[in-house]
Amino acid sequence: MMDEEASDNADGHKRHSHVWTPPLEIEARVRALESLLVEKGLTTHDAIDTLIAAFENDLGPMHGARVVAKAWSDPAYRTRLSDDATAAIEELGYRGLQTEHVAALFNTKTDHHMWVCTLCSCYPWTLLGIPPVWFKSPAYRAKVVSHPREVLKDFGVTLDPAVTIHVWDTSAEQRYIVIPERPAGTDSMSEEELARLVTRDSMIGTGFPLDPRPVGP
Amino acid sequence: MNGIHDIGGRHGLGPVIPEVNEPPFHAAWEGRMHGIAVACQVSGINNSPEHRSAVEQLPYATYLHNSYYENWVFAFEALLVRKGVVTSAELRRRASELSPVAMQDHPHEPTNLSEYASKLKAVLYRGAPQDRPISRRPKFQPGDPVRTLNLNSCRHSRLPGYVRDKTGVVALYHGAHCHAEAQAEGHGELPEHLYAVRFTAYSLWGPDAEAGAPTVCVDLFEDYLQAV
Repeated sequence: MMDEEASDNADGHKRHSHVWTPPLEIEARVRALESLLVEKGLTTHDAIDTLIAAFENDLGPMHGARVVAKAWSDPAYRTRLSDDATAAIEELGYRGLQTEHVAALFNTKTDHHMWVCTLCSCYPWTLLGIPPVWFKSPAYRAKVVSHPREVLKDFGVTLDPAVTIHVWDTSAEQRYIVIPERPAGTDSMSEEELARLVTRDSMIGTGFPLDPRPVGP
Repeated sequence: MNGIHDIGGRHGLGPVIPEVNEPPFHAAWEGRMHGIAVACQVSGINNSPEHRSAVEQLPYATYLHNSYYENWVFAFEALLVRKGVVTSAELRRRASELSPVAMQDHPHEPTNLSEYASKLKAVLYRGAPQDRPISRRPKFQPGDPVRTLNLNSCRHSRLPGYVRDKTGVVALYHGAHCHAEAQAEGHGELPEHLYAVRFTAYSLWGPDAEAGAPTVCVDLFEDYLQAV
């Protein structure tokens, strides 16, 4: 390995023998960070386990979906959500890190909302969980502010050309949630059934809720 | 800072590629890195703006080539070294010394949480609000036209490049929040009024704006704005 020639690896990136150092696998680097922080008394393994378990098992779009379903079925709640989304979300027991300041964006027949964090990856963890890779990707962050319809095409979504798109860039500690329009044919559905139609992407604005009508000829 | 992270409006980054049934983390180390970052923030080792600033300071090629959580690892190493929490030598030595045991996927919450772990969990579910009282009255209110300043700080900034020196209209007033710039520089909590400012696509992109007259609303601190 000492005299490894400059070569292209699988990603097409150059490696040069004279600057070659043993590859430190990323996993080893994370273990080193954690083990040193624990050793110095700054954190504990059980705390990190607890946080991971919360992100993997508890925080997620099912929370946001409950908010949307309630806004669809309870006009008084919808008004409260519009007036002070942070308080309305807390009524359902939802508050937490990265979800301290929330505004609800209501889609209508004429206006469609989408949100992004162009500078990093700000996202309401309590309501939607860990952001998907595409949300954090340079491609989405670069494109959605100038070509939102092109982004929707990437998601297989077409919007009536007459609809005005509003993109919200969450560049501070304010977070957003889109309240999509209630799908047709859901009049008799309970809040619980409605919540199952609400997709994560419909709360970001890159998708719509599921269509409740059975697929058929 | 005019870094590669300030990417809104750049062209040529390819299509957005959604993943079906995406898990929160794609590998055990991603979850651990996320947990470490949240633990450090809640324990007061660093704040979010310092974390973001550290990611922004990665070299352009590294930033774009790395995966998202790889950037967190690189940034956290640099941040903790800069803060004197660890040294580069300690990190290197520890990474090479640790026996390569497979990292545990999907750890469970321990049955008996330590007091410290309970405290961290409580903050995860309670949040850390960033609004603060301020004695100055807000200069603007919804409906007011404003122009963003032409600022090009080499340090952490939350004024994206694509909305600098542009005219928009205040859409929402969010209250006064801790200014991210002061926090990133270790100057503590400096409350500043925060607004969502709406720009027309034409004002940002000119004749190349996408058809359909979209608007872009950006959350901006008051000291990024002037009256028109």
